Amino acid sequence: MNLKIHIENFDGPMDLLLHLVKSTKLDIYEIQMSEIIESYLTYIATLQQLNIDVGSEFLLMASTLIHLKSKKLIGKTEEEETNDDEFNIQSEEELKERILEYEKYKSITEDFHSLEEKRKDIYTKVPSNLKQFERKSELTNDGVTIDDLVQAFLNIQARLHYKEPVETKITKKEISIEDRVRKIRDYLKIKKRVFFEELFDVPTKEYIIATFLAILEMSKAREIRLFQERNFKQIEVESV
Amino acid sequence: MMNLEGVLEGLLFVQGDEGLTLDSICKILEIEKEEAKALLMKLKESYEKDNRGLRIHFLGNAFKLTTKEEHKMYYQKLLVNPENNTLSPAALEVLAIIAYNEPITRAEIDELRGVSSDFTLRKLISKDLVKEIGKSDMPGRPNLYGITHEFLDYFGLATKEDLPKIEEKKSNEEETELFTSIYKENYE
Repeated sequence: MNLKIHIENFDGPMDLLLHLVKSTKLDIYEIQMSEIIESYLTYIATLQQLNIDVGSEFLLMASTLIHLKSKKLIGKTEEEETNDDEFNIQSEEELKERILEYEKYKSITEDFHSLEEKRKDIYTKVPSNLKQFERKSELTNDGVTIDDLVQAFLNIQARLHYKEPVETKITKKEISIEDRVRKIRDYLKIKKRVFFEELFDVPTKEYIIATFLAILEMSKAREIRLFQERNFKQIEVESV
Repeated sequence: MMNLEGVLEGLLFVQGDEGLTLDSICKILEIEKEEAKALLMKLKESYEKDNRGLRIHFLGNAFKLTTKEEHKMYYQKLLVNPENNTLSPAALEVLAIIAYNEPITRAEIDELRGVSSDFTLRKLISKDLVKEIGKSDMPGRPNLYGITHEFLDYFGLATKEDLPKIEEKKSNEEETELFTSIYKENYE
């Protein structure tokens, strides 16, 4: 085994197998595939002993070859053959076919390489840019002056003015407790005695709160008196 | 009447490496195919004189105006970086497999090479030498790949028919059969 050959020099396991076949200097049809399998496995094993990182595809091929080898040693029966799906090479003949198929493309690459080299002898240019010749639609000036332009601009401005939103102010009316106290006082001057609910004549949260606090304030100052005839009856307010 | 030979020369110059197909020449010049062919031949002949620097080549299914092979050394003096950028052996292998088997899936390419071709294939697609040409009916509907006009031009080929012929090693079916049977006998 020639250890000077480095695994990186092989473009995959098929390449290595082909090399092993060629190194026998025999026609592939005369070769015992078992010998090639042996050399392949020895080669991979040696590389691993030397702690050289062997690519997974080389190991996959190794396992396929071991499978072929064991199949031959055991001498498989018909029904066992059906369970071999995970290996894509099922016989030594198939392995040989696969190497031949690979060789077909491998050898033609040399032809492609020389064609590639030959094509480099001639030069072409990129297509010319014809943009400058593209016809633009003609513009005619029918006596339009700069004043028309100014007028057009002014028209736009005028129109934009209409589009402007009308200025509005949204304000919140503040209701103070003092305010409500004064109002309730005035009210009670006229009506002496009112229902509690009567005082809440505006249904906003602020108004209700201010009114309620005003009533409490007035009650605390003993300005008014609150009373209820019995439970769940309406509360009444009376000025003192 | 304009001299169409001159017009054709200008058209080929403008198109550069995109070239012109016979059909587009006919369409632009409003002439029949035979007439277009005759014009091309006439122009080609006049370029062959050694006081002319251009040549008409049929590459990647199109007529292209190119420089002459024999003047190569002068053009190379113009190059800043004259190192030859050629495709890697792996790239050539993948290209060859696609060229002779298109349409083909990546899995089928991998199978033939016994190694993943994913990276190489992507590089070839980015170089426009290979393209997706459809979907396979196999499970997962993998992409099918094929070669491009750029591929043919890259290798100086006119059409797919110009691909180098693959040696048919297994041409004699009977011989293979005989070989296999002997082989089996050796075993048992």
